[in-house]
Amino acid sequence: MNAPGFVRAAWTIARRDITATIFSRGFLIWLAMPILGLLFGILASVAQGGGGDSSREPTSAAVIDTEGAFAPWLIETARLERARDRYAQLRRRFSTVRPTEALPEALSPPPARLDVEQLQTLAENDRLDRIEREFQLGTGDTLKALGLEPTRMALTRVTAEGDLDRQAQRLLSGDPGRFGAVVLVREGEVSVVRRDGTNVDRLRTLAGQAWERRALDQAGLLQPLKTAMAGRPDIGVETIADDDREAPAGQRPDDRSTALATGAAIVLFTLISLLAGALLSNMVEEKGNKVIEILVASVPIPAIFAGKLVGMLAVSLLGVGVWGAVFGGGAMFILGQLPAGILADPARGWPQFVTLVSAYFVTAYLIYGAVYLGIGSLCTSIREVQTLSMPITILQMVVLVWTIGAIGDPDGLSATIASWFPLSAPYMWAARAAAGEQLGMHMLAIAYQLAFAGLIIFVAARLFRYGVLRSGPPPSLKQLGSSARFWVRGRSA
Amino acid sequence: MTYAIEAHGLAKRFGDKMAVGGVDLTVPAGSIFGFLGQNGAGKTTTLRMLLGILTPDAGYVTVLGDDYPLSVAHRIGYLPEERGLYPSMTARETIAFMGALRGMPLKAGRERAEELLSAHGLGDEIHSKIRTFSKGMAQKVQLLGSFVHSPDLIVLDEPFSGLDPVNQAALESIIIGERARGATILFSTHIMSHAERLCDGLVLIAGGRTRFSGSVAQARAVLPAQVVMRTVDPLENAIGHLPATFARDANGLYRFPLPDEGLDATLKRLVAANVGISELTTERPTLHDAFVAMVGDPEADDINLRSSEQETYR
Repeated sequence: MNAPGFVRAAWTIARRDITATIFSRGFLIWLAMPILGLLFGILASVAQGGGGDSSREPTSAAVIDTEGAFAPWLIETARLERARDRYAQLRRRFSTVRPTEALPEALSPPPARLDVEQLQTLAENDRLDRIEREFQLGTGDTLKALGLEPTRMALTRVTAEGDLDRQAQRLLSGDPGRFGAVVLVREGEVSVVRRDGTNVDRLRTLAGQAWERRALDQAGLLQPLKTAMAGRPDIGVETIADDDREAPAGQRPDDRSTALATGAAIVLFTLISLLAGALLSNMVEEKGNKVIEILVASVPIPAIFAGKLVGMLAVSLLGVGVWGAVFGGGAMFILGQLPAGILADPARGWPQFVTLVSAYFVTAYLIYGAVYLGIGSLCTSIREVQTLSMPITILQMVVLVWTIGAIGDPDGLSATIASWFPLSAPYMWAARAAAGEQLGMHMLAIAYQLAFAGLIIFVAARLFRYGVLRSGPPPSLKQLGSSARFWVRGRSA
Repeated sequence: MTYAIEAHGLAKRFGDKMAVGGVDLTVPAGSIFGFLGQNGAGKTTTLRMLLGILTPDAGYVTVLGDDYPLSVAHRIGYLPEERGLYPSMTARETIAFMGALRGMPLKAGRERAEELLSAHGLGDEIHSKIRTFSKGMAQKVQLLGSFVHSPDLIVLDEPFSGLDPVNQAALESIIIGERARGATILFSTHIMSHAERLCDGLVLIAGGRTRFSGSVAQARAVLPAQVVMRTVDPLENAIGHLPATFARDANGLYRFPLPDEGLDATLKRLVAANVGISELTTERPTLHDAFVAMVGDPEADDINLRSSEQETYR
């Protein structure tokens, strides 16, 4: 069969699989499953009061100031820092929503350089809301609904009454949610009283800033300092957009980069596990309904194999597209709301990162899909599928664990092997996409993985040919191994 | 004469078991050809080798003039023994899909599917899903799908299996109609009556080997005609004048093979012995009789009494 005939035959099979899968009721359930999982997770979280995390920041704090002079400084500092946080979020959201546009003037100063007057301007007259509306950066409503809005701590001044320690205890142990922490100011000392496990780092920082500002003001240094610092340069970071750039040897990624890389590998693993299983079931079903003999009699087996692989890949991409739109859109929205620096940006930016991870998804799918399809052709029942696919699933998990372990030291021997061992390569390179490997190396890795996928497809097509018209129990490894002709000539045995 | 299929010495082994141990088959173009054998004789394995689904361990095959059957797959239609359809597909889409597998454009396949379904009594079921069909209806859809692309060669593996008499008759007329169109039809069966009615030629295999190849008439001629005789009285003296192989059935009829030298000598002996003969006929053996006789001894030498290559079956 010539190449156009091969492609036509493969497409005929792929098209049938695509339409049959997409227009089935099962597909909708399959498509909705992860989304339902997320919704159930959120509902469960809401049902638990969203307070399962004992280390969360308090949403409200009381300030008891026996001297009376510190509380206004603290409350004002908190107000200004809230404005700074929100401003930083808007900048980040702008870059996410409009990645190709330069920051507008209203968002151009870096958050760290905003002085008190600028912060006061932002904090007043709903200026931040106007920026949000003007540039269509969305609202925080969705995040509020999901309980994911960054903490905006409300500080309330409370008059001192008697024993301050007892008063603080009463404020903390009052109605649930009344106050998460109490700032006590007495005899020149500032302390924070909290419930066990409550994270008051932010509150302590705010208190420190307020104390510093008040001290400077009292010494008459606040204004001179502001004047002196007016000319402070913005010490930014410039990224060289050079494809041949390589990170210095031995440089370790920071925790945020590692988290992103690990996340990419896990997402890839999860998708492949979910989708390759569907491919396996498809093949067993095909054998069960006996259509396979008509296919085998009509078109070359590699065309059937390619058609099934491409068909399910298309279905998978559709599924990933839908999930991506739901989860990815949500994730981008959440990222836009988070304070800058919580999660590292991919070294080459999100568009290139997503493109590379998508490419590695395709290579991983082709490699594992071909393996699973070959296994499916040897099985006649779901039970056999479970038996035969178990070693592959375990191997896949081992590979994932190995990859995750190697991500932390990308120049180490383990990472290097994982990058070129075919079954781990897609995961490892998806992780490397987060860290910013050379683009040329990514191209080489993709080409290598596609070549290996081709080899797997070649071998699996022979497995397919060997097992597709078999009945009875699947052949043992010994039987497969002893069938030399099957390997050499690709004949049915 | 041109042949749609020429196969010689086809052999296939599955592990330790020899499924087919040397099958010869020549199917003249434009004929209806029967491929007969008991269950497990190797019919399906042979057909799969003919179609390129399985690769023979030995022997060679030429289909429609090509040594590699899959390269002429677009000119072949195939109904496998194990019927298989996608339950969620409609009848029209099923037939069009089967045509598309053979290289037929999908649109043309759909149009042709509607014509075929209407012509064969399934006009109301064009858009019905296969899962709603009876076994006979589904089988008919699969059969229509096997020749939707107007192939030159149609291979049917046990096509009559599981069909009621009405559908069997309908299938016979479909096969005859396809032959009239110019197609060659090769079908396997172990139901002799269909082969007897339809086939221009046939091959009989047993134990994975060819036992007979020729026309239906030649197959029947493998066994001698039977003489059936009724005497006026069951006289004991008649017995001594009959061939030694005679048998007497419950109705009092004497049966014996027609002697090689003819019936004259036997009749003269009976008349001379004053045996009254009230009824005398000769019966030619049926294909079923020939089949049982040939397959009855799987170890017997090949019974290629006449060279099928010299025969014209139409």
